[in-house]
Amino acid sequence: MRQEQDERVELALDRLLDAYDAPEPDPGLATRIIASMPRPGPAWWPFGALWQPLSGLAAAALIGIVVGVALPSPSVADPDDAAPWNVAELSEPSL
Amino acid sequence: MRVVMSDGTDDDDSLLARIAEGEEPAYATLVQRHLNRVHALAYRMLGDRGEAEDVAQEAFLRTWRHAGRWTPGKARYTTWMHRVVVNLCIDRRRRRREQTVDELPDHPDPGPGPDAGLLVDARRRRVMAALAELPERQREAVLLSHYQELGNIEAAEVLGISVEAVESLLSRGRRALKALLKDEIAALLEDDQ
Repeated sequence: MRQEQDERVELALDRLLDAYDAPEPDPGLATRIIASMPRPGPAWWPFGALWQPLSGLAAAALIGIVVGVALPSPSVADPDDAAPWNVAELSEPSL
Repeated sequence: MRVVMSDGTDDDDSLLARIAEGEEPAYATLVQRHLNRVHALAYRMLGDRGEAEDVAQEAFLRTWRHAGRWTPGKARYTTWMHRVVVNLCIDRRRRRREQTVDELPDHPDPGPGPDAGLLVDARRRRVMAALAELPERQREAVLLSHYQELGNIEAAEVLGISVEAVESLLSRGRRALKALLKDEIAALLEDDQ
């Protein structure tokens, strides 16, 4: 008798839980999910998304420009220093 | 091995293999197949339709990213997907708790509109409130078992606990629900007589 009552209560609980139905998702949700899928790069580019190497190149170019502009230009060398060594003169034996 | 379902579409493992190759139709089939269940779980965990949609979107995006690393036969896709959804919902609930009361939405999502009968709607709200009163792990166990229709073994894998722990959570959760909903249960039993 007790067991039968417990079973009826369990079934009633299941029926009550069933009353909490979840709403259907928005009809456009599936379309939005599929549309938001990351697209691979073009067929001629087999290494995945094209924006990755392109942004790498752009970042490298930008760093190059910034460093090139920011660093001071090399000072003009002393004319004596700049003159090529006269190897023949240096190698002449002293008398 | 490619396995075809009764509706002529590939099974989940085959679809994931095709998704890993970048096949959009396979992704669309997988989304259509599982979206309702994924959304329903997220909705019941969060009580908010918009947030449930965000979770569903994020979960499927993770499927797309993860497909290349999927090992067929190692686990069921539905188990993995349920785990992703449960974790995403836990993260969102945690973030909500960190919000101040002022920032929280004024009212929970009302669910179905005014077409639903008043009695059904009142009952639904009572069940929703009773579930919300359960401790988090008990609620997750009840949701996975009753609404998602997962067996205890699969629910244990989703929650990352033992089968015995799932059984214990379910037992305590249902006992608490029976106490919280005792008036509604009594009314139902009375109607039956």
